[in-house]
Amino acid sequence: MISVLTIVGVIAAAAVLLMLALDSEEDSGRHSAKVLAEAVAGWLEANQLEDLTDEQLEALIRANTPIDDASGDEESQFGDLWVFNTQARLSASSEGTRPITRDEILPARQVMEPDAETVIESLTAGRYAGTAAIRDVDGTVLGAVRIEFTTSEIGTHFELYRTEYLIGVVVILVALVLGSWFLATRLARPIGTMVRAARAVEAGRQPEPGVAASLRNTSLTRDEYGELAGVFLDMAREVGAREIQLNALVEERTVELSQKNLALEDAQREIRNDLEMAHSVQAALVPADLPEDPRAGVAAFMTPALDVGGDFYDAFLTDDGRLAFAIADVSGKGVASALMMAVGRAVLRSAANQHADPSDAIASTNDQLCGMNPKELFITAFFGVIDLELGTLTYVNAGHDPPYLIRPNEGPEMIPHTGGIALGVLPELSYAETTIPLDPGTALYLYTDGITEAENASGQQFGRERLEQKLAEMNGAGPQGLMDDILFDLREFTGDAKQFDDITCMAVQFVGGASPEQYIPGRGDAHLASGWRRMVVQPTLETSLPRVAAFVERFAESQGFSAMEVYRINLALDELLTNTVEHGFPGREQEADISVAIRSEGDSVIVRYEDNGPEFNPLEATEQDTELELEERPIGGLGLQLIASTFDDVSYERANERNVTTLRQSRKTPTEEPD
Amino acid sequence: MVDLYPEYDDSVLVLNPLGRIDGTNAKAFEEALLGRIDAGDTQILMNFEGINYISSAGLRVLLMAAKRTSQSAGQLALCAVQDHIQEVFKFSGFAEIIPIHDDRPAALNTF
Repeated sequence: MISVLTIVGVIAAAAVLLMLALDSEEDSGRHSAKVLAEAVAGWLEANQLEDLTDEQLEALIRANTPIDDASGDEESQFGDLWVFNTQARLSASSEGTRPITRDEILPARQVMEPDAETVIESLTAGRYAGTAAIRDVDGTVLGAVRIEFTTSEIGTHFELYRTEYLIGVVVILVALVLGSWFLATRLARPIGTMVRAARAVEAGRQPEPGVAASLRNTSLTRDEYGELAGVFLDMAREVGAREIQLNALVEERTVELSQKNLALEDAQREIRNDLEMAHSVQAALVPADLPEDPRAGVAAFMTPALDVGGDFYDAFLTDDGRLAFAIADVSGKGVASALMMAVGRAVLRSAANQHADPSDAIASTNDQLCGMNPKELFITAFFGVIDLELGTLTYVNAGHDPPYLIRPNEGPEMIPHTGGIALGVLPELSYAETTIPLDPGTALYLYTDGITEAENASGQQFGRERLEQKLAEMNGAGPQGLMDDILFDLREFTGDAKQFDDITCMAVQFVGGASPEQYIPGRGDAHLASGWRRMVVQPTLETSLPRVAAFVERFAESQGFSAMEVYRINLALDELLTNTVEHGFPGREQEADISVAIRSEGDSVIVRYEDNGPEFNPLEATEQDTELELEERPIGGLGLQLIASTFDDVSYERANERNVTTLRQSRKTPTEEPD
Repeated sequence: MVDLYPEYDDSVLVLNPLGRIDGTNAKAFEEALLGRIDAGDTQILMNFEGINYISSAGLRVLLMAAKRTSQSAGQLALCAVQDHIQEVFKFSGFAEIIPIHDDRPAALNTF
C-alpha cells in the first residue's frame, strides 16, 4: 500500500518536471521580455538614452537575469532596442538596430495609455519582444521602450530558474512521502490491525492486547476507518460472546448425552440380563441327564450363540421303554425363539408319550404349536424313536437337515427325508414316518445348521463335506467320541471367528443286546398293540430284501415267533417285493414306492404290503415269465401260490391308486408240521 | 457268483450252498447249477444244511435242474433241509417232484 503510494508520487513528480521543462522556453522568453523591458524603462527614467551604452545595457540585463558569463562573452551584441517619445515617435535606438516598422509602434502607443501594462510579444524563431512605458515617480508617462531578442541570447528560463524548479520537485517529493506516511498510518495500519484481529476471531481467540488497543484507538477517530474499526470491535465482541454461549451449550449437551448414555447402558444391561436369563433358560431346558440304557448310547451338546438362539435337543425313554430323541431349530433369535423352544420341547415330549407313532406325536405337536405361535415362528425338527427291542428306528423329519446314519464299517449316509414341513406353520397336517432296521452298532448323527454353517475367519463354512469326511473317519467310535471329535475339528476350523448360531448336535448309537435272549419278549406289547410297525422299502431288491428280513426278524423275535413263522412272513414279502419290482416297474424300480407294515392283533399277526404299481391282484395272477420252456410253465404263479398256501388269509384291495395286500396268520392254530 | 462248494462222493456231485437263495441271486444260482449239469454232472445232491432261506425264484431253479437231470437219466435230490424250508417244499408241491432226505448218508444211499 505504502509502496504503491510512493511509486505514484514519484511518477507524479517526474510528470511535473517534464511539464515544466516542456513549457520553459516559451515562459522564460516571455518573462525575460517583460523583465528586461521594464528594467530598461526604469533605467531610462533616470538617465538619457544617449547615455545608455552597450556596457550599461548588458549590466542591466545581467542584473535582471542570472545568465552565465560564458554566453555573454561570446555575444556582446544584445538584441535591438528602441525608445519612443510620448507621441510614440522613435526618439532613439540602439546601435545597429534595424529601422522600426509601423506595427511595432502600436505596442508603444498602447503601453502609454493610463494603467496599461507591459506588452509582451512572441515573434518567430524564438524571438520575443517586450514594450514597457517609461514613467516617473508620479506616474507621468515620459515615453516607451521596446526591446527585442532571441532566447539563445539570454538563455532559457529553465536555465535561469533551475534552482527554483529543483526545490519545487523536492518539495513535491517530500509532500508525497509525507502523504504516503500519512496514508500508511491513517489507512493501511488500521486495516492491517483489523486483518490480524479478524484472524484471531476466526481462530476463536480474543485479539492480542496490542491489536485490540490499536483498534480501539482507531475507532475513536471520526472517519470511515474509525467507524469500520468500531463495527469490527462490536462484531468481535459479539462473536466472542456467541462462542462462549456455544461452548456452554456444547458442555451442557455433553452432560445430557453422558446422562443419556448412562441410562442407555442401564437399559442395555437390563437387556443383557434378560438375554442371559433366556440363555440360562435355554441351557436349562436341554435335558440335564441323558437316558441310560445298555442297549443304546446317547451324547449331545449345545453351545448357544451370543444372541439367544432357539436350538434344542431332547432324548428320553418313553413310558413304554422306547428311546425317543429329537433335535430342533427354532427360526429366529432372541427371547421369543427361546420361549418357543421351551414350549416346543415340552409339547413334543408329552406328545411322544401319548402317541405310539412318531408321526402322530409330531402331528399333535404341530397342532399345539400352531395354536400358540403369535410370532409366527417355526421349528424344524427331526424326531426319532428307536425300538430298543425290535432294533428299528421310526422317524419323522419336519423340515430339518437330514441326520446321518453310520452303519458299522460303512460310510455315513443321509437318512431319507420323510417330506414333512416345519412345525408351527400350518395346523392339521399329517406327517409321514419311516421305519428302518438298525443293526447293532449303527449310529446316528444329528445336527443343526450351526455346525455346517459355522464360519472361519476367512468366511468359509464348515460344510457338509467336512462333516461327512469326519463321520467316515470316526466310524466305530462311540457316540461321545464321535461328537467330541467333530466338535474339536469344528473349533479348530473356526478358530477365533465369532459364533453366529447355536451349535447343537447329538449322536445316538443303537448297541442292541448281546444276544436275542436279552430282549425281553412281550415287553413291547403295549405299543405293538397300539399300532403298526412300518417301514418304507428302498426299491432295489439287493438292499431291500435283507433289510425287510432284518425288520421282520427283529419284530418276530420280540414276539417270540418261531423260525417258521418268520420265514413265512419273509417269504411272502420277498415274493411280493420281487413281483412289484420286476413286473410293476420293469427297468425303472426307482419309481416304486413300497411300504411294509406289520402288527400283532390279538393272537394274529397281520402283514400289510403296499405298492404304487399298476393295478395287480396277486390272487388272480398267473406267471408272466415267458423265458421258461413250455414244459416248465406249470410252475407259473409259484411265488404267489406260495403266499396263498402259507397264510390263513390273503386279501387284496386297490386303494388310493395303490395295491394293498394284507396277509393274516393266526398264531393259535399251529400250521401242520410237514410229514 | 454263487459258490456252491462242490465235492464228489463217488460219482455223486454234492453241492453245499450257503445262506439265501432269493430274487437277488437266483439267476447266478441258476447259471452255476445248470452249468454243472451241462458239463455232464447228472447225479446231484444238494446239501441244504447251510440254506436258511429260499424263495420261489430259488425253487424255480431247483425245478429246472431236476427236469434236466431226469432228462439225462440222472437225478437231483436234497438233504438236511431246515424245517421251515421243508414246509415250503411241501406247500408248493415240490416235495412230490424232488426227493428230500433227512441227511447226507441217507441221501447218498439212494443214488
